[in-house]
Amino acid sequence: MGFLDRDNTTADSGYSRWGFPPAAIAVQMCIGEIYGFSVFNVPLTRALGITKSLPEDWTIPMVGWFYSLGLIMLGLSAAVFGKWVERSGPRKTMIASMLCFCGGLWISALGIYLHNYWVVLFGYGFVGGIGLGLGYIAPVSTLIKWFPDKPGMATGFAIMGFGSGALIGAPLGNLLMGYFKTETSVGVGESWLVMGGIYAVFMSFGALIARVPAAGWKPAGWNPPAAATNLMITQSHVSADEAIKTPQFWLLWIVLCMNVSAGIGILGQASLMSQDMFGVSAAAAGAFVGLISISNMLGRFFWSSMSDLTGRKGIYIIYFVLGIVLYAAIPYLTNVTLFVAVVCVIITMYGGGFATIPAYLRDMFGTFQVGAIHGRLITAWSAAAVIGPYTLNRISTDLKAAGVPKELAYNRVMYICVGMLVVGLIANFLVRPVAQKHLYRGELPGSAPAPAPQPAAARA
Amino acid sequence: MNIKALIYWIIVAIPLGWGLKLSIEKAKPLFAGALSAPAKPAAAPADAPKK
Repeated sequence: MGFLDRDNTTADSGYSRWGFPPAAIAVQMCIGEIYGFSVFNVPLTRALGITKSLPEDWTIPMVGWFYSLGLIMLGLSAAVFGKWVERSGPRKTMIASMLCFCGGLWISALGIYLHNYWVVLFGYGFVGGIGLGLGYIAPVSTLIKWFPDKPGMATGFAIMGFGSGALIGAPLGNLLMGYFKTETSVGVGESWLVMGGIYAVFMSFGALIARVPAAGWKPAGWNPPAAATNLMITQSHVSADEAIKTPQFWLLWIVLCMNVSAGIGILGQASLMSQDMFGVSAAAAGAFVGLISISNMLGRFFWSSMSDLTGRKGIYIIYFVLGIVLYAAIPYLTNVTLFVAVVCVIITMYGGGFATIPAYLRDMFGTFQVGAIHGRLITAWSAAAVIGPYTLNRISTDLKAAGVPKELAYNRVMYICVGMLVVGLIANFLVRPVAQKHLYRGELPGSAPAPAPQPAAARA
Repeated sequence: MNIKALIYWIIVAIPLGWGLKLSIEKAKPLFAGALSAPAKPAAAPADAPKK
């Protein structure tokens, strides 16, 4: 398997660093398919009844667990395998991700054929979820090494790719289900078989073109900024095991968790809010969801690239302060177009928060094990995936069920989101450079001193 | 950027462009008057101070 090893993927002198972002995007836009999972919800509840659900069919909450377990496994596998990913390099990790993610889809297709709930849960949620975690962190540290001068933009490319997954996965799923649907099948299993094949080709393409920079490589004409010029960008390194002992790691964990929780709070409510508060039609609300997906994707690249100019701490101050203003303004909006615009801006910052965090980690902990540290920080996303839907959405549902007018129920949720953003803002303010005692003192991989030149006689 | 990298970009841009095009088409009703529903007065914020 030497072809896949990190050592055998070192770029030669003719390789352009601009060749690596497409590798990252190819993998991320495939695994980002999970964001488009909702198109399978209803068909999966009719796997036996076809035109309507039978008592033996799965329910929506049961089906929801395929998606939820996938996201839980994303966080866990990114945290557990982070150091292996650093050692193995992007190509081997991308192939492992492809085998798990596509293998998960194929196992799930078998589960649907057998109508065995646990096989689908194991395939899509467990095995596929591991593929998500591996693929999500696979390109991060390599991108940062290729673009030390623009780390925010570089990671923005990759994380934007993940955000675009729904834009491709959802229509592809609908297209294939429409093609495979028969009187005896809703077409989900067949669609997953084909999607697994298409994604396997694309992810393999990404792995094939992935290259790591040679030790000591830096962009032509670029020199690392002197340590004294910006204390918030370290020139040192911190190992993944040491990073989690620092307050900076946990402050950034809170920053990500709060930003994502508040974002999920509005993601889960926006479409319903537009209908309940402004009387928007269901069709327009569906269009609104499409616009939200585009905002989520574009925000990842835009804001993360901006962070190269503003600094990472500065961009999170913008996310939180602007977010607080916009969330607090929503209850007062009377114009639906303005409401849509405000929600879209909020969602761009939700995506931006995801995309900027790897560069923030690089600034704090250096490049040595930034992928592994990122993997561990992703647990904040898993926590937010619980806090967001199961608290905010629950509060809104419970208030409405208790007879509170819909508008007031939504307003309460918006104010809770504001509170979350205030917590995130405070955590971000508290981030300071890492203390010297945490810095890595060992030899960095790939930076070992070159062997001393041997005498001519010995060379012969 | 060399020619190889450019080809890589084109390869990933094809599915991205397809997905983006479909999403923009899906979002078109928002720009085509679907949002021209009469604006409703916003309810008083739940925690607004009482006058």
